[in-house]
Amino acid sequence: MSADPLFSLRNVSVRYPIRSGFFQRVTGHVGAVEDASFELKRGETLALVGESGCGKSTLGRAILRLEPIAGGSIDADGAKDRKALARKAQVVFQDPLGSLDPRWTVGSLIAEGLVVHGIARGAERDKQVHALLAQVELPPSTFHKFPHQLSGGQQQRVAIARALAMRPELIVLDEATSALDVSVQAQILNLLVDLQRDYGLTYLFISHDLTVVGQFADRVAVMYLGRIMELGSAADVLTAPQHPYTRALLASSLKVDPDARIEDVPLLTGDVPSPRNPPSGCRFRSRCPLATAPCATLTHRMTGSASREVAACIANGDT
Amino acid sequence: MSLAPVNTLSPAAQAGDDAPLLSVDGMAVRYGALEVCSDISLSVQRGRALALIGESGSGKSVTVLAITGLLGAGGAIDRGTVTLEGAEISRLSEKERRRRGLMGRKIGMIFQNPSRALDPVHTIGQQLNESLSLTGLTSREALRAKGTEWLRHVGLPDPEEALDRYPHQLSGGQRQRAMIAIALASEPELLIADEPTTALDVTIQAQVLTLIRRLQRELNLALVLVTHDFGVVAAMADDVAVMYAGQVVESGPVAQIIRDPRHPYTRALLSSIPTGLPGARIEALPGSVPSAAAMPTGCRFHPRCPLADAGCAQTEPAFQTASYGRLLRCLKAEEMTAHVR
Repeated sequence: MSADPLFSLRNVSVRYPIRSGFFQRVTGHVGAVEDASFELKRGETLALVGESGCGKSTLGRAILRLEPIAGGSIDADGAKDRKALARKAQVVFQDPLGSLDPRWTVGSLIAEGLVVHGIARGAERDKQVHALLAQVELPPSTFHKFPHQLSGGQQQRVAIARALAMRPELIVLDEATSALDVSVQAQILNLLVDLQRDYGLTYLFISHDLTVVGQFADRVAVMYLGRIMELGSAADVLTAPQHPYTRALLASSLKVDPDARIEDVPLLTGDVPSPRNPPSGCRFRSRCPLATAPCATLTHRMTGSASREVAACIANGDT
Repeated sequence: MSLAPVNTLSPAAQAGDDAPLLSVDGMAVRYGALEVCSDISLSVQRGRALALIGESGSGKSVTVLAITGLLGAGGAIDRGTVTLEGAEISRLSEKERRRRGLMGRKIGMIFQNPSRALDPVHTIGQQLNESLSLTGLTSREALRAKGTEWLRHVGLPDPEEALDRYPHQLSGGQRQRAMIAIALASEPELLIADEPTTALDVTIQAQVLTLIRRLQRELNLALVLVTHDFGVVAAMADDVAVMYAGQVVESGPVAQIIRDPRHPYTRALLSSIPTGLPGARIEALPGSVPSAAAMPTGCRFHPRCPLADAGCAQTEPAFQTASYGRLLRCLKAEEMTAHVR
C-alpha cells in the first residue's frame, strides 16, 4: 500500500430533490450523503457499512460519477471525465442478472468494454476475454452461454470479469455477495481476495454484513442517515467501536454461537428516521441510548485519534 | 427407507411428557414429475422452536408450504404423513382444511415480505378483524379493543391509530410487526415463520426476532422458523434441521449441531460462514446445490463431499440415528468423529 491515495473525497454531499404538487416543483432536498471525507488508499479494501437508506450505495455511485455531487469534491486520481474514470473504477452490483443483458452471450458481455474503449478487437479481443474467464475461474465453454444458463455465483463471476476487463484500479463492490448463498459467497470472496493480491486492486466494499466486512476489509466507514459516524481500521472499529451506533450495529449482528440468544441482544428503539426530516444535531440521537440535551443542537465533533479517523459523537471519550 | 422415531429430536421430547404438536414423517413433495422434497422427517412440540436451515433450492420453503397446504397448483404431498395434534392432515381437500380451521386458527404464518402478505386495499384493523373473528369475537367494540391490544403487544407505536392505517403507511419493520399481530390474533398453536427477517436491517431484525421469541414463549407456541442464516438459528431455535437438496441431512439440538456438526454438509456450511477474523481465508465448498431435475444418484451431496467414495454415488443413505445419538443422513456416519472447530 503506497502512501498517495487513489481517490480523495472532501466534504462530499449528494442531494436528491423532493418534488411535490401538481407541477412537481422542487420543494426541498433530501441529503442522501452529507459531508463525507475520506481517502481510498491504493491496494486497500475500504468497507462502507450501514443499514438501508444510510447513503452507502449513493456514495459509491457518486465516486463512480453515476450520481452528481451537490457539494465538496472527489479527486479520482486525475480522471477528468466519465470515460477516463471507467478505466480507473468499475462496479459490481448485488444482482448480476439485473446488470447483465440477457440477450448477450457471456463473451460479448465481457468484451463490451474492450470494444467501446478500443482496447482490443478481433482475435486479440477473444483472447483477452478467455484470459478474463480464466481469471474468474470460469470454464472456456462459458464464452458462448447466456447469463440465464449460469448459476448465481457464475453470473457474479461474469460481472467481475466485465469489471476486470477495463483493468481498473478500483472496483466498487456494491453488496456484491449479499444475494448469494453462504457457500457461494465464500467462493466469490476468496476469488476477490486472490484478484486483489494478483492485480493490486483497491476495493470499496459496500455491505450491510459486519462479519463479512470484518474478514474482508482493511478499514471500515460506518454510515447512518447520510453521515459517516465512525471510520478507522477494521480491527479497531469492529472490536473496539467508539460510536454508540457502531456498538448498536455490532450488538444486533447475530453470531453463530448457541450461547448468544436473542434475549441477550440489546435493542435499539424505533426505526431509522426519514432522511427528508433528519433529527437536528446528531442524526442518531433519536435512537441513541446515550443521547443528552446537547446532542439536539451540537453537530458531530469529527474527532481524530490514533486509532480512529472519525468518531462523530459528542459523548465520545465519556463512555 | 428407515424412519427414525420422531421424538429423538430433543432431550425434552425424550422425557415423553409432551407429544409433538406437529410431526412430519417421511414426507415427499412433488410438483408434476419433479420430486422437490424427499423423506422429510421433523417434529416440534408446544413451547419449542425448530429451525429449518438450508441454502436456496434446499426445499425448506416447500416443506413449510406442504405443511400449511399452500403448495399451489401442481404441488402435492406424494408420500409420508403430516400430523398436527395427532390428526393426519397431509391429504385433506382445501374445503376440509378450511372446515377444520387449519390455516389461521391452528397454524399462523409469517412471510419474508410483509408488503405481499398484507392486503394493500384494507386497513391493518380490517385484516386483524378477519383473524380475530376466527376466535369467535364479533362485536365492533370488542374487535377494536382486542385489535388495539394486539398492535400494542407487537410494539407498534400509537396502536389505536395504526388500526386505521393502510400497509403502505407503515415502515418495513412496522409492517412486519403488523403481520405478526395478524398471524397470532387468531390464536394459533403452531407458528410458521418463513425467513421473517431476511428483508430487514439488522437493528430491526433484532427487534422483530425478539418479539417473535417473546410471543412464542408467552403463548407457548410451537415455532417452525425457516432461515438461511445460522446466526438466526443460534439466536432463536431450540432444535435445528439442516436441509440439502430436498432432504433433511442432520438434525438435533442447536448447541450440539453448531458445536459438533457431524454431517459433511453441515460442517461445510458452518465453515463457509465468514468468521469476521481479518484476512482469514474462508473454507469454500466447491460447486453448487443440484436442481431437482438433475439429482445426483446415491447420496445427493456426494459430488461436493470431501469424504465421498464410490459407494456414496450408488447407495442412498437413510436418515437414521448414529451410534453417538445424532440423527443424520450419511453412509459414513459412523466414521464421523467429533468435530473440532
